[in-house]
Amino acid sequence: MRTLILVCPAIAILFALVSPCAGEVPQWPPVLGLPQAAVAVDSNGIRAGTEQSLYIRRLKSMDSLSIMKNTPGYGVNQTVDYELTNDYWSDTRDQLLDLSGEAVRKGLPLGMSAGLEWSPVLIYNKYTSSFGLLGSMEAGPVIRFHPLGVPVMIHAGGAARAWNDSLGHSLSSASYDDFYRDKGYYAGAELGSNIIPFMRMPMFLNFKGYGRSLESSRLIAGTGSVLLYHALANGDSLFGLYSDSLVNGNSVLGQYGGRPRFINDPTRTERGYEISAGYKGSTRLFLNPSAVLSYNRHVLSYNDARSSLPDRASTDYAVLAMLQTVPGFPVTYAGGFRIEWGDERTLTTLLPSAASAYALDINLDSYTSYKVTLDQCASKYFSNGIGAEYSFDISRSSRAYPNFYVQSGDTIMSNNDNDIIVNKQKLTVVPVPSSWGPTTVYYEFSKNLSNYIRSEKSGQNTIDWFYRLGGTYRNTVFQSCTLSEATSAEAKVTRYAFPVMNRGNPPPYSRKWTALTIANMALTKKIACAAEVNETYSDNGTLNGRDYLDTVQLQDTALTVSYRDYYAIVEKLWAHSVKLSLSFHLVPSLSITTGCAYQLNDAKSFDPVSNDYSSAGSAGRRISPFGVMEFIFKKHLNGKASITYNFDTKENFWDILISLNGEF
Amino acid sequence: MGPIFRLLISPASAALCLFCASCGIFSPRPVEYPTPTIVDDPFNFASILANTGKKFTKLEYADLFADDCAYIDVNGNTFGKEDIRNHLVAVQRELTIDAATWKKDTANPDNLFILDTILVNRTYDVSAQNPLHQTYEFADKASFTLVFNSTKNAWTITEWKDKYSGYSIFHPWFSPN
Repeated sequence: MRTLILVCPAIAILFALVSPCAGEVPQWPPVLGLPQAAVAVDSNGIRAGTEQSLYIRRLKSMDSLSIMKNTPGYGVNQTVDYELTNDYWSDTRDQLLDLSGEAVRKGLPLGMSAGLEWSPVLIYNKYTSSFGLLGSMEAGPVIRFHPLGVPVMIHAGGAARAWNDSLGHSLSSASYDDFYRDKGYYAGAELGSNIIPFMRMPMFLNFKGYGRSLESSRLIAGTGSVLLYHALANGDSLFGLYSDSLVNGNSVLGQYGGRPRFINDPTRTERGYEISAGYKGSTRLFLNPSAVLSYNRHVLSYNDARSSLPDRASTDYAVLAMLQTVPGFPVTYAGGFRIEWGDERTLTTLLPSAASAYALDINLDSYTSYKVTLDQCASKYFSNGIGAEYSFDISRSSRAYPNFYVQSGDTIMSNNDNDIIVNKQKLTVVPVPSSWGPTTVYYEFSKNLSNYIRSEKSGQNTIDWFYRLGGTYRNTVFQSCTLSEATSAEAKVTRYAFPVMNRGNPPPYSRKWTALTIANMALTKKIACAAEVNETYSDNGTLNGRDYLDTVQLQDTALTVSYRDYYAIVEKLWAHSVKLSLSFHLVPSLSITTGCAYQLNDAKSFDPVSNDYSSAGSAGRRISPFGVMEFIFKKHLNGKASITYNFDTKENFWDILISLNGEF
Repeated sequence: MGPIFRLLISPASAALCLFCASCGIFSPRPVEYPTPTIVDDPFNFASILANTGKKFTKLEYADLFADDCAYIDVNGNTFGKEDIRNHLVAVQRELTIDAATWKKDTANPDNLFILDTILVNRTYDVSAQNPLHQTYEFADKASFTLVFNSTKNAWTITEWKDKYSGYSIFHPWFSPN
């Protein structure tokens, strides 16, 4: 079975039947979850990794090396991170080199450790017509200790920068004087941990603070959280959370995607905090109740004339109540009821006076919001696998924009007040015993109402109906061959609430049918083959009803008398794909898969000039021979290499990924 | 069946269902009868979809930009829908947009995925002037990811990558002052 899953992971996705009602109803918020114990990490050794990828015209290279040496007496950590992104499409190139590290002496009095840290960073961005370069260095002493078992870290030192984000065409033409330079100092501290209880109390406390003062910029940043939990004697549990974050200042070096990046953001003050309380009840009768209250506040202020953005503040409240049956109860039920309300306001007190008219307009964007959601799911499965599951979700989301001003006697206000009501229902039936092969049939229905309240936009109000009918099936044809099938058909119908306001603009309509068949066969213990066939038909267009005839058509008496509503297909697509593969599991730690995929997109769009369908932009074919090799060597070295060459109607291209990770 | 019966008559469930069914919390508010409106499009966003067989049916910024829309500058700085909207409103207040054109980037063809997603590459050229008749010119490339919002029944911009090195007129940190 392991072999078959390796051959075709799509099977696992198709038939990933999760536990009943999972994913259909609200879940306990992760922020109120107790952290898992940290996984012990070997603090000695060398870790090296490299990942090279090429996709069409984008080359990405990531290389890292981490050297760790930790003994009771000292610890040395040095990392080398290098990233290169070369985008031949846009003629841009980004490079990053980060050489952060530290060396500390351990075993000092009071359990302290002390030493030095350094974080030199070099960033090079080549744009289409210029380039930017930034060099940054922070270095200074660092101290760690554990008073009463609480981890504490304090660090401080000097900081220096040199940068220019808009230099000429080449690096060689730049001189030292072309760069802005800055120097100063930094200091930071960390107290507590997110995974270790604070002083053996039922509490997790973590605080991080960092401040940096340079000649031309200043930055203070801090985050903190306290999570309390308490188990009552009757089995109930109480949770409380307070978390806060603050950023004040600006920087030419920021974070993007978890990596240092060259930025030049305006000076800003951003603060957000959250207070939440949760209750998890013990089992009563056969039910587990739980409830959560939360309050969020977020304020963002720009104190920089470079920015035209207004300050903003938002406040959100939420109440969530959940109920679910205990595992093993004859019928599984899970449901939740959630109410959220709040507001988001623009704060224009700091805007330049010259922009006061702008401030009036910006104020119109302040809104109050309200959302209520009810999710219910019930399921019953018998021991032979036969059963059914029904879920019912309904939500209403509303916004109101109350601000206004008067201009020349007219009241000016936003016309975006809206209500969106979504109702989804799904019935899944397993009609045959599991021994016949996992089989499901499902029907989905949803009705969405999108309403603008004010007359200026209510002409756009719509009602959608969405229908989907589908099923999945898997069976072992004979001992080593498995056949899987998934198919579904869907349609979406839309109607404008006021057709008269949409004459000549009939509402959209779309349909889709898809069928996926996968066959896997283990030829020997080490060789398996797989075939995958996917057929999809889809079309979209407009539902040309009588109500949507335009004024010219309405004057045509012959047309209006004989007119019958019809579905005008604007685009249609037949997509065919076949994928054949052969896998070799030569040894348990080495597998090689090779094969070829073929896709044909027969896409057509309606040409009103010729009154016929012609080939659309997405039409074409692609033949993709591929090979994948994966290996694990003694748990120290693992790697993956995949290579695909795509013969495509529009442009042939490579898709290559090579990754190698080692730990010694 | 005893436990199932108790579940069905559970007072909490019954009260919840009664509450939800009776107080109209899932009913929409009354709607005003519509009046025709004309939407201004000084940056000519409508032309981004020219010659693709599709068109923007809602050009107001609240509808044109998806709720999770991201404007990403050449350095990777990312801004959300509200930042984009507020900035475009501010720029229109402070500058007069003389012309804005979006043309197909001939070096980078569009990726048209039928049904609900399109990736288009465009070159743009925008000229504007302030009240003192100082002119601003911006020309470079941008790529857009457009998704059909089935709730709004309209094409929306979900990602806007601006290749301009520095702050283009669309960049939320651009200010003509």
